Formats: sequence, C-alpha cells, structure tokens
Amino acid sequence: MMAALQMEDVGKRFRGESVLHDVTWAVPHGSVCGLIGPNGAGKTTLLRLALGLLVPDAGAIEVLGAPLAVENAGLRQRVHYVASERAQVPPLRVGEWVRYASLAYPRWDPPRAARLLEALELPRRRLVRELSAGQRTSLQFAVAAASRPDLLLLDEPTNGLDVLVKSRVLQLVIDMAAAEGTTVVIASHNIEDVERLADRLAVLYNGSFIAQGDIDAIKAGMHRLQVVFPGECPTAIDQQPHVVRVERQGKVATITLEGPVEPVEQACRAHGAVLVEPLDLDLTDIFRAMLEKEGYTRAKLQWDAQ
Amino acid sequence: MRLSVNPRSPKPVYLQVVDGLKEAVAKGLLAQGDRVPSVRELAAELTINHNTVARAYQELERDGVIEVVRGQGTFIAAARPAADRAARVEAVAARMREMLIEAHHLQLTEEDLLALFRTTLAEWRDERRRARS
Repeated sequence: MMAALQMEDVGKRFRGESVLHDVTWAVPHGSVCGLIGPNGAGKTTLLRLALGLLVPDAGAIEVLGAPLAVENAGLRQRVHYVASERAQVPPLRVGEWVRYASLAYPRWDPPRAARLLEALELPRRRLVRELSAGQRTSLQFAVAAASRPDLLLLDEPTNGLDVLVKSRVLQLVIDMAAAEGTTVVIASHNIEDVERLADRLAVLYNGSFIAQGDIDAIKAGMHRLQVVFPGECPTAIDQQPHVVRVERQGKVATITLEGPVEPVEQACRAHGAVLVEPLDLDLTDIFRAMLEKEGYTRAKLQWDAQ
Repeated sequence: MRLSVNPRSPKPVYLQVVDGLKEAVAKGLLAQGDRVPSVRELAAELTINHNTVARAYQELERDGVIEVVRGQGTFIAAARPAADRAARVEAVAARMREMLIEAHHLQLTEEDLLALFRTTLAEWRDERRRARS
C-alpha cells in the first residue's frame, strides 16, 4: 500500500540550528496518525514541511504519491491544514470566507458546508476576526471538511474548543476518515484525543522520531511491574535487558520495561522477589517513559529555569 | 445498543468493542437478525478510530457473532458451532483453574464455590430476563 505521506531522511535547519533530522515517516492511506512530542519537538515544522510551506534542507517528501516541489498548487487543493494558532485574518465575514473557499477547492461540497456552519454554531454575518479562537478553529474545520481533502493535517485542533464543539469536531474527523478514506495526521498535546482517534502513532523528540507504528502494538510493547523484595531491590535488576526505569521505595520497586515481560519477571523471582504484579500503563505513562528513556526530565527543565 | 469503550484502558480498544458486543448478545440485548451499526456509524458514535472498529468487526465475523450481508448491512448471526470450539472450551477451563487458585487463597471450600457459582448464574439469568422484557 502506498503511503499518503512519506518522508525519507528529512532534515530542517533554522538559522543554522537543526530542528528536524533523520526523519523517516510513512503515514498509510486511510489511517489516522497521532503525532505527539513535548513542546519544541518539531511537530509544527514537520506539518509545515508536509504542506510544502517549508522546504527541507535534506531528504525527500512525497505527498499523495507526488514529490513535493517548489510549486504545489494542485496538491494544495487535496491537502488541508487546520491549526489552532493562526494569526493573520483577512477582513471577511464568515459567509464570505466560506464562499471564497468554495471557489478555491474543486471538490467543494456546498450542502456539507452549510450543515457544518450550523452544527459548529458559526454565524455567517460575523467578521472572522471577531470570532473567538475556538470559533476560528471550528471555521477552519468546516472549510477543511467541505473541501473533501485526501490528506488532513491537524495542529492542536481541539485547543480552545468547548466540550460539545470538540466532540462534534472529533466525530467529523472520524467520519471523514471512515466515509471518504481521508488520511489524517493529528498533532496534539491531548493524549486522550490521540488515543481515541488514532490507529497509528509517531513520537517526536528533539527533532527526530523515537517511536512510530501501530498504536496497539506500541501500547502492547511497554509494561510496568510492581515487585516486592525481602530487602532492598537489587541493582542487578537495572541491568536487565529491556528495563527502561526502576523506581525504588524501600522494598517495593516499580519497573518499567520495553519488550517481553517474562524474562524480567523471571529475573526478579531469581533475585528473591516475593511478589511480582503487572500494573496498568496508559499512553500518557508510555509517552513519559519513552521521553525519560531519551534522558528528558522535568527536573532538568527546572534546573534550566533557575 | 449501548456500548462504551475507554481508550485509556490498557485493554486494546478493538477488544473492548469485541467483548462489549459479545456481552450484549449473551445477555440477549441483541438477537439473531438484529442490525448492528456500520463501521462508520459506530466509529462516529463512540468517537474512536474506524480502522479499530473494522478490526473488531473482522474478529466478530470470524467468531461467527456477526455477519455482513452485501448491500444490506451487518447483522447478528445465527448461533452455530464454532470451528475452534474445542480450543475455546479449553480457554474457559483455564480461566476456571485461575479462579480455583484465587479461591484457595481465600479459603473458599468446594461447596462455597458451587454456591457462589449458583448465585452468579441466577443473577445472570435475571439480567437476561430484564434485557428481553
């Protein structure tokens, strides 16, 4: 299966400083890919590269089977970008903005646009610049959905949306993917949204991917054990293969590991563990463990701030 | 049909859908011939990924719980002998053995266990009766 979005060894520098490096990424057609990473990891830069708004310094990018060039007008009609932060707004009313968009996109669906303006409670006569941040995002969504894109890139799409509008927007994204096979990339700090919507995941840290793949496989690959030892938890446990992190509280150790769980369980028992119990891990825990494995700590950030 | 999933649970979402639908059938909330939502409908209703729902439906179809009728939709299938029946019966027995281990550590006697089983069965029957009325 051809990928809707493909990157090979992509790198990007700003003022000599590397922002992205060695990014190889394939988002299969019809999938919803979550893109997560701490602030400044390069998520927005990655999406802007995929849109052709930025040109990579290294590597190659293919979008919907065509290599990105300097002029990507044809592609721009099949790829849509929705970001919660967009400053410049022309002096147009909502209705005018939508009419303008209807002329720009050949696959424009007028009944759908009308339905969406109503469902997302967007007043046609209001000036776009007078809309709240959340309403502006909703408007971008309405325009994106009505233009029937093949690839939809979402950058923090649910920021500033109230609970009701947010659930409508997320349902809309699911429906576009299910009904029209739209490929979706969703960059978000809201891991719960990502967990709901995505079937694939890519984790960006310091400008490159530290994990990517099927979200169920990623979730199934990481485990946490609570282990009780008769005395101190032996330091040999830290050296076991696949062990990412060991937290000790007296006789109790919490072990996070990536890979098969049985060898670590056996090693704990061999070191005299009296109790070995699996603990639940959700995607937030997994994300944190992945970052910690890469040497990211909040404590370090606090030091930097002092 | 009320089905709920928790994407934060370590149990994969597609398995939650599989088990939720199987439970609804076992309780009589869904009967043979009932139409189940399409992949697209259920994905939107639960706000979960459509490929996840499709994967659950594939598994349910393989297990003979649902059947897809081309051009008409997806329906609860007639109960029929499963091809992997022996293996699945053995899986039930394995779960029973796990219960026996737990029972031992709770000092439950065989009589206690049988009584508990009868009570649970009776509750289950009541639940099914209520679901059908």
